[in-house]
Amino acid sequence: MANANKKVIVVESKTNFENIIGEAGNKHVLVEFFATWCGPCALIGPRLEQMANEYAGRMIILKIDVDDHEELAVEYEITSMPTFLIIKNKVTLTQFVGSNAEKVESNVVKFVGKPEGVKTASPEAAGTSRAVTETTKMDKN
Amino acid sequence: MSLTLWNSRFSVTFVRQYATIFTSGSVATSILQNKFTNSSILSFHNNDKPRQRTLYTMQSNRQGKSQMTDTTDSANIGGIGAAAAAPQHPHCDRQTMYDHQPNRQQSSRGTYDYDLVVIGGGSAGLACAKEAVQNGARVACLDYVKPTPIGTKWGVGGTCVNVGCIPKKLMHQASLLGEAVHEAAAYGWNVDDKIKPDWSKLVSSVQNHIKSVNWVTRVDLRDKKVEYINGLGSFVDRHTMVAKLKSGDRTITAQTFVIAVGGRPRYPDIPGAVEYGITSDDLFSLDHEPGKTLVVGAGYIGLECAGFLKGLGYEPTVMVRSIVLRGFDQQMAELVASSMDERGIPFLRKTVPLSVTKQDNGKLLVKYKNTETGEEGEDTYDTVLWAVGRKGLVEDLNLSNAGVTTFKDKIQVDTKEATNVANIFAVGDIIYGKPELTPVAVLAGRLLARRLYGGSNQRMDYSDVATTVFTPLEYACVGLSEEDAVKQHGADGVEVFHGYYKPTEFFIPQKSVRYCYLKAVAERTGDQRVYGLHYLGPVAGEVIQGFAAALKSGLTINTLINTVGIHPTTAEEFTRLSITKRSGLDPTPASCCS
Repeated sequence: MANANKKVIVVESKTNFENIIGEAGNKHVLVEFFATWCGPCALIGPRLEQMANEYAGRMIILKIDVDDHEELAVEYEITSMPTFLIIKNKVTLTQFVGSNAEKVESNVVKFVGKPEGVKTASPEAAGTSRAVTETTKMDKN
Repeated sequence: MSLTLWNSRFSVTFVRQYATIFTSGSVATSILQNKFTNSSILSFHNNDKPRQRTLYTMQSNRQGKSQMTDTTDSANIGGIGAAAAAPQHPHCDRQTMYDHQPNRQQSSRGTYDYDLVVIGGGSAGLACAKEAVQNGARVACLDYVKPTPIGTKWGVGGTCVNVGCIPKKLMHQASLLGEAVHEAAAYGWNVDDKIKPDWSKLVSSVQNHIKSVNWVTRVDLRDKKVEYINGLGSFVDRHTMVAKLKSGDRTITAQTFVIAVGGRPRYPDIPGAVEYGITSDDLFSLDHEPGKTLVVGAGYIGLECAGFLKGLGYEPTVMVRSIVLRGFDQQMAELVASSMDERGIPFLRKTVPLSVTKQDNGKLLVKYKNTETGEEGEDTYDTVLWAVGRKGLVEDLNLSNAGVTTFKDKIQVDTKEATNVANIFAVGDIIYGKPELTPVAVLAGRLLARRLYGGSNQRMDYSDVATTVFTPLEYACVGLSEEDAVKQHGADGVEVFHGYYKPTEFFIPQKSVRYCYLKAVAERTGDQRVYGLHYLGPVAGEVIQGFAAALKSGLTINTLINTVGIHPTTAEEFTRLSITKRSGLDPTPASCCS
């Protein structure tokens, strides 16, 4: 388990990454490919820590440094940072680019649901989340 | 895909050729998916020669070989994917297809790992490698940075990206912004005049940018299917190199090599030079403030560094052995030096360093001598920056194994960038006698690749290359210096138009206009073809760039003075030139517009 202070896990190796994905079970995994020299990545960092708390138990958040883990960056065809992926049961549900907090939030809400305290049945079923899906469709343009 | 089946179906030569592909997994699929734009690869579109299409991108004529594969190919699925899937298909006569291999023998790559290996991942090397791939070649690019004596190293991209043009321009900009903040007060801004630069923040911002460029370079190489090898290469023979990688040695063979290893700063041969001095390789990532700095060398590197260090609040001194900006128009060079002197940068003329020692308080004691008077002196500095020239990186290449001759520490090439060895070329800073500039290296590298793989005949034109020295007051020029024009055409054949000017924006903050000067060196008679343009002033590079194209198109004084200027700019001063040196009239303007 990640320590109480920092919930976002920094990936240490490809094996480490594969283990986390494999052992995530039913939890979603939000992956951020970042670089130490990438300004926008630094900007969204705190929001990711917040989200790790908001979604504790439902979603794991991972960070991968593209300079340390070039193999992974090439495998996921990362060309710019930050690139986010949402993975569940080893399947990549979505991949998107940009340090836009709203975009990250809306994608997470779409696939994982609303943060703690505002539970809906499942994102795909609930009427409210259809509205969210509509908005995210527009965001993607 | 079944790799073992693939291998077994091919001849021994083919397996050896592909050995390197299959050790680097992703490259295999990328080769098979590679799209060729070269029209000579029509065989791909003919759909029936998957094996011919792969990699043999020489201009060999494939038509004659098409007949014999017709019957067997009908069973082929055709297209890129077929080449991978084909070996598993039970109905095709694999033996005939693969044993025959007529084009493989025709291709000049023969049994080599690559068509082209480029040694050096800098401006020249990358441009050449990428252009070669776009013209259908199979290319690998070696890049390696030997750490400096204090351990500085950097990523792919070469000198310009990491320790040259890019960080230099950013630091120059940082220092100009500091100046601008002070000028802003005169324009009515309520600025705190006591602003201070934060060196570590500047270095961190500059280095972050550089790393992002390193990243983009790597991604670009991957996208363009250039195999990047991070290793120090040396020749075994003219078709073979050995690369020292972190993981061990790797032998690489290629039909053609392009040497683009560039250069590194020299250290003077005096006690303490290496132990205590740094160079431009270290300056842009220095983990402590440079403080009071001795810049030894008055070429463009020394002057640019001294310039921005001054603007950032440090106290640089420039030590000059003989002349300033060797190779440049000397009148302009002296004006540049004077403009720096006016800003409070002292020049120690006709002086050479003798030794550097470290004192107990950590400061560096430099002993030096005036070569004219013989007088010796000494002073203490926080930093000593060597800017005494750059040497070509020929020593690690084992060029003698390939038979390539060198001249001083550079490689001589002909007008096609060919060395004395037929399959080995050189481009960029490593070649002897050409301007050491990124755009020169990039264009020359590209043209070389087009000649090698794109059927082009175009050679690099090294003449009339515009350049800029980014001193606090910048100097840009294109074409001949005044002294070179006189040498070539005689003093009587040359007319020089010149003038001082006053940029409008300088008045309010009372910035010195004393050295804002420009001149046009031209033919004396007829329409007066312009031989060279020289400009000292703000944004010099931006001013001169367009004029470089004009010069290349045959600009004349007649056209220049009949071009209406844009007002108020400094560039328009070129269109207002009227006073010649020969007339002896005062080139200082009285006022702005009349």
